[in-house]
Amino acid sequence: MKSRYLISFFTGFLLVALIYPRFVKKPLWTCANSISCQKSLALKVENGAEGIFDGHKVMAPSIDLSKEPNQNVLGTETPQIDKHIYVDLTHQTLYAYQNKEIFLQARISSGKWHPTPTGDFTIWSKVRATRMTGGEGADFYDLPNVPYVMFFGNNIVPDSAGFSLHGAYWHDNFGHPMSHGCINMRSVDAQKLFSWADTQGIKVTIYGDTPL
Amino acid sequence: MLKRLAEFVGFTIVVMVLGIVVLTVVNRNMTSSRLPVLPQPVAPLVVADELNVVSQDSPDGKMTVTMNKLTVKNETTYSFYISKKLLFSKIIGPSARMSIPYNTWSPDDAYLFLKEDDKNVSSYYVFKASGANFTSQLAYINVSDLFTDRYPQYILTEITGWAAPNLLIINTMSQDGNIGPSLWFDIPSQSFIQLATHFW
Repeated sequence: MKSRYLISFFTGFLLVALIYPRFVKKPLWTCANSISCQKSLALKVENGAEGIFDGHKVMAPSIDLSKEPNQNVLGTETPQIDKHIYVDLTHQTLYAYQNKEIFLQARISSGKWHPTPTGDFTIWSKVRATRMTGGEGADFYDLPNVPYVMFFGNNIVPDSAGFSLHGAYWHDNFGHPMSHGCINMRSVDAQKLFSWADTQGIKVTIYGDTPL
Repeated sequence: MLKRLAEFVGFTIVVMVLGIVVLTVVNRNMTSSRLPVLPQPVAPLVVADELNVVSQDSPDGKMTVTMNKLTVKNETTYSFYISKKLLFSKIIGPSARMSIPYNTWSPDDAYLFLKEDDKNVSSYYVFKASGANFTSQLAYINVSDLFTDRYPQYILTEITGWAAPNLLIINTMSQDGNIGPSLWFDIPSQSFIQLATHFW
């Protein structure tokens, strides 16, 4: 009799394991930028290049790395200062805290055409600029010299997916969803955050519900 | 035999239901957008109100639009400067006020838009950042007037910002109070493009 219940338990468990994933739709956090994907994780500066967003051409700002301090480093030591970034999707606002003090408060644009993941993340890498390409048809975008890119991930959203905080030079509609999943910021705000994010293990907490 | 089969199936179903409940709860906890506990800031946090924006830098950081306000008796003179050069000035009554929207600058620094509110009616004006006129007769574009002429069935509720260097994003409401379509306003052609998606 005991073996009957044991068999019944494992049968039920097996059936749930097989059936449940088919009915529960989880977003697949495979790629923030569907075409450039892993290429967009690397530093890439393309001055004079033209981009496309929402069917319109945009000129990317020029970048002269020789005139900028090397900030592409997160540091190797455990930081003494607690730095934590909070992104409120409901109010499209970012707060960067240093211990208990606010270092930066800025409006952002989160995912409109694809969702921005929520949860607790860690910044694992940053690059001064890269190219981001994705979408298709009217939604196709190709953006060189995306500035001040800070990649984040966790055990659900892999680093390879390329979700990031970064500057956006192709629109000026911050405070409203505009992106394909990343967190867009005014370039001047992204620059401040990029310089400030200079240590390992900076946490990013993304919460709330994007207005859609 | 049938009784044993029924027990087996029944227990299996109970296990499945419990498993689904547990997985659903775990799934929600893992993906929930619950509010985190933000640290209490040591310094008082001053939340910038869009209505109080008195200056805004251009995206390239090379220009700044600044608003000055001077009230004499019942009239207020609003003056807007771009890097200390007068762009626009208007005298308005006590029921009205002007402001610099947060997303005032176009992404390419070529244009900016200002807002006037008067008795729950908002008007939006677009200027060239250079201060040049659009035509010999037109120092700025009154987007609200153009919209009302073109779409009398809708009310322009808000211009939120720029979708592209030449495109303003407009949200609307129908005359009966329902949410209306979103549109783009193209600066060079001064035309409207109704959109299939809504920009919140």
